[in-house]
Amino acid sequence: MDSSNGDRFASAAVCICDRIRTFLLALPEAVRKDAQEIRLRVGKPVCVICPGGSCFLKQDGGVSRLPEPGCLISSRADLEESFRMLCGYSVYSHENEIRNGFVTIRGGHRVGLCGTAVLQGGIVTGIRDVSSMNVRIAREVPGSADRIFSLLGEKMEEGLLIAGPPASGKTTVLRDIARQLSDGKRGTARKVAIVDERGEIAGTFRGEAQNDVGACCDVLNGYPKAEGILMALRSLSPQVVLCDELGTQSETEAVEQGLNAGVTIISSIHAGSLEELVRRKQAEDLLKTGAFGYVALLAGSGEPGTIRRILRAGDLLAEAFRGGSADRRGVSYGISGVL
Amino acid sequence: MERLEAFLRFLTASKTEIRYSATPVAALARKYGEDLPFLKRCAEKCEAGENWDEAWKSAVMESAERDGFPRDDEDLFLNFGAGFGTSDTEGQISHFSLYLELGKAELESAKEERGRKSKLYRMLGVSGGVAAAILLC
Repeated sequence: MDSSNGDRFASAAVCICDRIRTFLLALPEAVRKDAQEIRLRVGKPVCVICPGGSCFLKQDGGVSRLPEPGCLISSRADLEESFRMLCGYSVYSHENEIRNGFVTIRGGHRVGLCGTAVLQGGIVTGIRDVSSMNVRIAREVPGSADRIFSLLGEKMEEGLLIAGPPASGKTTVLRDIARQLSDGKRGTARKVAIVDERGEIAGTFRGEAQNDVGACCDVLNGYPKAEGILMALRSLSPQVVLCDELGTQSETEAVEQGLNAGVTIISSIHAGSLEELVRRKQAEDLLKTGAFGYVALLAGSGEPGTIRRILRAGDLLAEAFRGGSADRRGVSYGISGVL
Repeated sequence: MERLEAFLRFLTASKTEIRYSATPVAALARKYGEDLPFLKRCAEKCEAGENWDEAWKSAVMESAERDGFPRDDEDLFLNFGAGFGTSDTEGQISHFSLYLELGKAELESAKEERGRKSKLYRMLGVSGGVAAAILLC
């Protein structure tokens, strides 16, 4: 497992063709360390996304903040070669992942693909003419969940929903929660089941979790979340079920079943702000299940993993959704929340 | 001919593996490399970090030079390698089916060629024997 963020950048760049990778690996250490994504688009400048914004690679080895003449352009041949490298020159062995729009590589990095849909009977069966690739660099930030643990302590067992905008560190925090719970860093070692539909939490590559998710953790890789939660309940007798980005009706129903089985559910949901969260019907449905005692709101992409607020779910329901059933204990404390 | 037969066995076995277990190209080359030296060499090159396309091409060309492949065999292997691994399962099954047919046709023509040559050599042998008998008499 990679130790530093610079190493992580290098391991993510492995799937990019030699011509462009040479430029990427020559980037200043500061850029490599902070990089969140590497983006390739046919006929467009190669771009590295950092918390401060986009950096465009230049042919002289430098970077610029705006696309301008002299930038390094990725060609169709670069994209085709990178796509084949990404698949280990065996496109057929990644068919299902390609159909879902991304491939997970060694190190847990997720490569999103964009191109022309191949349809059969109205169903997307693949992608051809790949026109963009987005390499999302997986990060492990041990301790990123410390603040949540210190604020909630044993109350975490009442369930937690982590809300935040894209790239705010939801997955990073979830991963650290899984690791700390299953390694016994917070009391006894819990049996944690991760339902990792998109392979982002554990970063499973050929059956092995590339990210440290702890010693007592089972990973259901690639399972649709609803099915994975039920499978975990049936077969793994977990104490904690953890998954990313819940939202559909079937997922909400699976969460309810998990609650009935006495399992702690920890998950995340997309929401840029508290206002956005309370406007979302999916959030209301999820909170009404009573599976989440608390909601943690993350700051944003500028400060990945930073907790802005922690609220009691019951209070949020009572105040924002009017008529909620408070948390699983039926307790309401006011929307001022914990933090 | 033995090389073509081994190549056809590789195609048949790999086609099944791709359909049922989606085994990656480098693993297939490693697995079936014992019967076909260029496959084994290709797998070794991949393990050493060479990219698949270059590894396949250079392994075929090196083996062709060392073992004296007929030009048709070399082209068959190179053309097959250019499409190996580049498409989804259905695409690969079609690719393998095409090269199984081409390989069989190549094998048939090699057998015919051998039949023709062996007949020729037999006739030359008989003629040579008759000529030698006449000379001795």
